[in-house]
Amino acid sequence: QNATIKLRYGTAFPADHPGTLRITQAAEAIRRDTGGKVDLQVYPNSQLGSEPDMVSQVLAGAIDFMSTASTNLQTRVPAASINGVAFAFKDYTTVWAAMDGGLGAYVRDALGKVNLHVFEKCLDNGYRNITSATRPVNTPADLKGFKIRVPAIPLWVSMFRMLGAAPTVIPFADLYSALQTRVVDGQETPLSLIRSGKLYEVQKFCSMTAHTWDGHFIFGNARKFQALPREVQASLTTRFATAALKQREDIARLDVEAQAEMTRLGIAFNRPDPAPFRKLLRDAGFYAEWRRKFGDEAWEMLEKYTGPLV
Amino acid sequence: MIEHAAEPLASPAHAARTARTAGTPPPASARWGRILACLVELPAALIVVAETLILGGGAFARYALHAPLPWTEELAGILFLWLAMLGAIIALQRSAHMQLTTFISRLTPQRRAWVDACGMWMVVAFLLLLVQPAWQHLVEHVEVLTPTLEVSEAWRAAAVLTGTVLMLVTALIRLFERASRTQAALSGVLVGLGAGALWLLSTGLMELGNANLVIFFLLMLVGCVAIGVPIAFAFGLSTLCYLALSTATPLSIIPNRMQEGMSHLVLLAVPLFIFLGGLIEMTGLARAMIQFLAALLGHLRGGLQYVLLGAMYIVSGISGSKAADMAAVAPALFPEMKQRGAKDGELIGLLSASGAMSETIPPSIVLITVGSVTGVSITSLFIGGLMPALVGLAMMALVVWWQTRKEDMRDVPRPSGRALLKLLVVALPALALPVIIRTAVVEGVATATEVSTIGIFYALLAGVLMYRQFDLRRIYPILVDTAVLSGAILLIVGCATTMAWALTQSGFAQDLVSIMSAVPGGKTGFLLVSALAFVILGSLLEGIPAIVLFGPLLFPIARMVGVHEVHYAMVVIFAMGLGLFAPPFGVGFYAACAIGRVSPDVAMPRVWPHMAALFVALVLLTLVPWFSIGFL
Ligand code: NA
Ligand code: NA
Repeated sequence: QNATIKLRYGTAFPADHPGTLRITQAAEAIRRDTGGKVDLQVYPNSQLGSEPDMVSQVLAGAIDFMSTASTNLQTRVPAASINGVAFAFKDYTTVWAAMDGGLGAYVRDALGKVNLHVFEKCLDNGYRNITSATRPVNTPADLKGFKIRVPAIPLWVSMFRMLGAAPTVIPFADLYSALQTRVVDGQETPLSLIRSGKLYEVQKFCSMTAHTWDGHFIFGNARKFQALPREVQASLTTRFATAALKQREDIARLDVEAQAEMTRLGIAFNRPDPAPFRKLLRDAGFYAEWRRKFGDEAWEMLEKYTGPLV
Repeated sequence: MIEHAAEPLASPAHAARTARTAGTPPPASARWGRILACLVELPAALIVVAETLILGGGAFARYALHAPLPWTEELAGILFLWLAMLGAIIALQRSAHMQLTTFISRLTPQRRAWVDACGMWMVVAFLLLLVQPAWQHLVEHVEVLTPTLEVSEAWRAAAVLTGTVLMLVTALIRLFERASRTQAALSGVLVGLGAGALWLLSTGLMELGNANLVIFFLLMLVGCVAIGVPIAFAFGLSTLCYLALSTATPLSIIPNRMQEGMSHLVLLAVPLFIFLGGLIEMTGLARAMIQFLAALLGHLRGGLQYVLLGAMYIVSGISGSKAADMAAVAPALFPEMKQRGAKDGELIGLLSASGAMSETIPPSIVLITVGSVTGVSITSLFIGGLMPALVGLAMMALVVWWQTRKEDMRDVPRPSGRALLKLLVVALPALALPVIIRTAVVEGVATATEVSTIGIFYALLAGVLMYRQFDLRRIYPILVDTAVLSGAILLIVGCATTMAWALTQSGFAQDLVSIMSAVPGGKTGFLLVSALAFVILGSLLEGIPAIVLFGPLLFPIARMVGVHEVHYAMVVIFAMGLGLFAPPFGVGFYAACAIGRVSPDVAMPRVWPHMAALFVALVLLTLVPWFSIGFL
């Protein structure tokens, strides 16, 4: 009865990222809550594997918990990546209303059907913005023929193709050198990643397009979670929720700091009007296509928070 | 790295085996060999061609047509996993997996046969235990779709299962064909008893905690490597036993980690550069270049030695593989050098040391591997690697100058300017190749992964149009050799990735971090300890396994103590190269002996001046970061 329960938590966030630090704090709190019985080890920086691979490990029971972007879950549950729809959430109030409300519940429920227990509050990974070495992006015309690195996420590949850009899939490990040698003209990631990946060294412009918002779900193997003692389940649930809420505040603060620091380092920021981008996507049939792929039920849940998109 | 050259040096016992095999062809093996040829070799060769076209086409579409194809990466990745597994099967059939033969080669043929049989049973045990987890891994992925092509992930997972099953069959056939029935049965019982004993102890083992790391990753692993179990299988078996017997981890983690380890797309540069290395030798590009250098420097004291150094430096910049470099350079120069009075041992010393020196010259496979497992930019590594090799080159040139200062050069004719010019014109397309490769990377025409395809198309064109030397019948063997070499390297990467996962989740990684960051002397202390550790690891484990296993654990510490990661990479690679090519354990040394056709006993006492020169270069690199990062 007194044997310790060893739990493993994997994440791709670096060791000094709030997405890791707040979970480490939660691990300490969980240890206290359970009288030292639960030992939750946090492995940052993809030490246990890439994100899609860690998902396999969670499902196989090799690790217990992890966090990752919803877009990495779409290969298993298509609706999981619905928060990645282009220009959907106009601000953070809308984001949290949707993710802590009906949309989040809908996705968590869908993930539950493939044996994933998703904790209620998700982590913030920030809005994604476009950086470039050649020119700022102010209107969709600036994206014409623009070679932009995107992760291998069909939703985003199709978004940039419909915006007239030339999306190129390159692994993140090769991104810095691809930008440096101009294999691509630019890339799109959240501010925190632009800073931690030192991408500002090889880019001149950062256009705050905020074209999609990206969050990290915290989840584990549902059967393994249910098998844990009640009080351990309760402690994990409360502590992860607290960690997520604090992490969101950290990111809000860090985004401001990151922008100030990169401005000092010579990056020119601009804030384009999202309306023409959205119109172009609507005319090109982007929203209609993805409504079909996500299904009406999921889409209506999204539009409940964002207003009509199609 | 030693690669396929390892085989010729698995000497006496191997020679005996070959003789036996040649005398009466064993029917089972011959039949299986034919089956493998259709089932495995042909698809593997076709995949190498397909990868060249996909990657080259992807770069062309993006750079020339401004219309990148998002699916090329994923398709290349799936095919790559198949190539690695198919190559690993053929490598097992041909005994081309890297192994340590230092100890077992000293045994009498009789004892050696017993040890070999035990070793092969270990391989069989690993593969047998892997079949079920690999099947489970496949089942788990049937419903998952790949992100871009949206086909089932089972296409990837099936490669691991297929590889496991076909390797198992190959290993069993080889076991029964090489050992007598008594040997096979008795050694099988012995290995089985050992396994049974471990299994009975497993409840006790679970309570030992991290002491199990010593049992499995020190005793068992070192034991397996010492009796000549191929390193990849030794990694795999000790990890599998550790996870199965002392933890509650599901074993499907093993195929899972193997698959991910073998799927880093940057590693695709490995087979493509091996293929390019084979091509430049076949098309005569390498020979044209050496002839020009020999005419330029040959009449000086030690001139041919300088030519060898220079040629290794340049050829290394084209081919990713060490064995290909040495094979392209040595046979063209050694006869003439011996005629001028160079001693056999000194030549091997020079060849070995230049092999070690060129480990950091882009596009070395070690550089690519470091980049892929640690996330350090490969472009930075490609830029940073040129100077460290030059430092090694300068140190070795000093040794050559000392050793040949009394050479009698009266009879050596000096070529006319006209003749020299003619040779230069012939050599120009060959000399241009490293420049083209470098320019393509620096100018953003292609990524470090894609650039090899540019080299391949160039070498093909130059071979056909300029050198008129292009033997279509030789292409197929080169393609199969490429697959074999890639399979041997990638299986190690896959198994080492699995082992690194086991070490990380045990908490060993954190312990290592606290030990290494407490090394006295700050940055310099950390660098010196790392250099020493990698000389030893390079000598015992070879380069790639050592790097794949410890790179992901040590690079973050380097960052933490403030060492530039490119500087750290250069120190570690150079140290590892020194260990790899230093007798008595370094396999690279034996590869050099095999290629130069000199007995290791003759060579061993005479290689030390060159090794000392490399050691001095290593100390310089460690203390002066500028050599590594001054040009970034
Ligand atoms: Na090289
Ligand atoms: Na990587």
